[in-house]
Amino acid sequence: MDITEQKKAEAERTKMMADIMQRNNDLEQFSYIISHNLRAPVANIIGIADIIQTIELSKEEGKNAAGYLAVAVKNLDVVIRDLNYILQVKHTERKRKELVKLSALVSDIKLSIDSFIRIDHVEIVNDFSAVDELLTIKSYLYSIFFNLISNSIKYRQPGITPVIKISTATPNDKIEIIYKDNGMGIDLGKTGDQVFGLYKRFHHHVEGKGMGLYMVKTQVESLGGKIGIASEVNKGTEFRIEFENNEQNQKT
Amino acid sequence: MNQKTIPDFIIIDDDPINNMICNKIIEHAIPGATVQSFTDPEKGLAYIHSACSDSKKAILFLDINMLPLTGWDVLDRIGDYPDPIKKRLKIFILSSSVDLNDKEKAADHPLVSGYLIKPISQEKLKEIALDYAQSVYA
Repeated sequence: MDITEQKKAEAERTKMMADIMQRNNDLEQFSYIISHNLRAPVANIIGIADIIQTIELSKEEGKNAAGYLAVAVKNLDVVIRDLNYILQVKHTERKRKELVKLSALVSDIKLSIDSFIRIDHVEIVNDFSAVDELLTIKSYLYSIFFNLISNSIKYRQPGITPVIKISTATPNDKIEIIYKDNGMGIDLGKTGDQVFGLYKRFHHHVEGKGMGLYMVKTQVESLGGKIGIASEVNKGTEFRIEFENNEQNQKT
Repeated sequence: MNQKTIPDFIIIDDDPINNMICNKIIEHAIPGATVQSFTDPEKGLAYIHSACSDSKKAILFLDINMLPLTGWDVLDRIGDYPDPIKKRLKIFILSSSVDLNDKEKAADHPLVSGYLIKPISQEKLKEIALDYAQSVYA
């Protein structure tokens, strides 16, 4: 083995170690969140059962307790379903890759949320001149764009036209998707590292459960890519998604 | 028996079901105890600031996993309150988390007296109430 090969092997090993550590970290975080979010409704159910068993309740109170019990059981079911969905995405082996045209994919999404786009006068500007076709898992890419676009609409800035710009580039032999909006932005200062975290929320006045960006990151990583974020409050948010540029991924 | 030996409880937790459970169980386990619960940490903080400014003592059950203010944030805010308020307040973390890191963090926190795992049990409440009564005469 000559020096260049040795160096290459070394670099590969370093990268593999970093990947494994990242995965381990992700898993730890995942198990913490799941245990907490699974345990919360279970604790509710135990508490309600304790009340029903040990306290003499009026008819009215009994009815209320049953109502709370129903809500707690439903919350538990939601977490289990989320968990199931997430674990499915983490197993990509069975999914087939196909050539996906980005411009067509974005058009499909626009059509599916047409009413929201019209109500809020959302402008989506594409520039896929650098790369328009990716060999990828279509449903994941669809879900990634769908989540990002619906977030941009949800967290738009009041009073101005929401503008979303999506483009592609090929820096350093990689494929990059650049997604930019002019929404309300996120203050990444204090808890920026949690922006892709499961059940983490940053805007509390808008409905949501903190799954969107977690799923985006999970799906990007399942496709072998990386995602980064830059954001400024009251200016907008930019996501950069990067894939390896090899014959398998790209066709221009 | 002097009324003062029965504690007043304050609960800050964004989960209304937990607050209902605490209410009912406290009422049952400690007759005569009062319970004020808040799903909005800001409102809970404002209540503590005004209620505990006079001679009122209270036991606070505080959740960790809340938004936008977490339990740790609430503790930071209470940390900035005048000492007499802090002295009148006995704080327990009440969390559904069985995570060791959370427990350790609570144990290390100077304002926290204990870490309780949800749901609150009647036995634990009685223990806390007895301890409170003893502290009144201490």
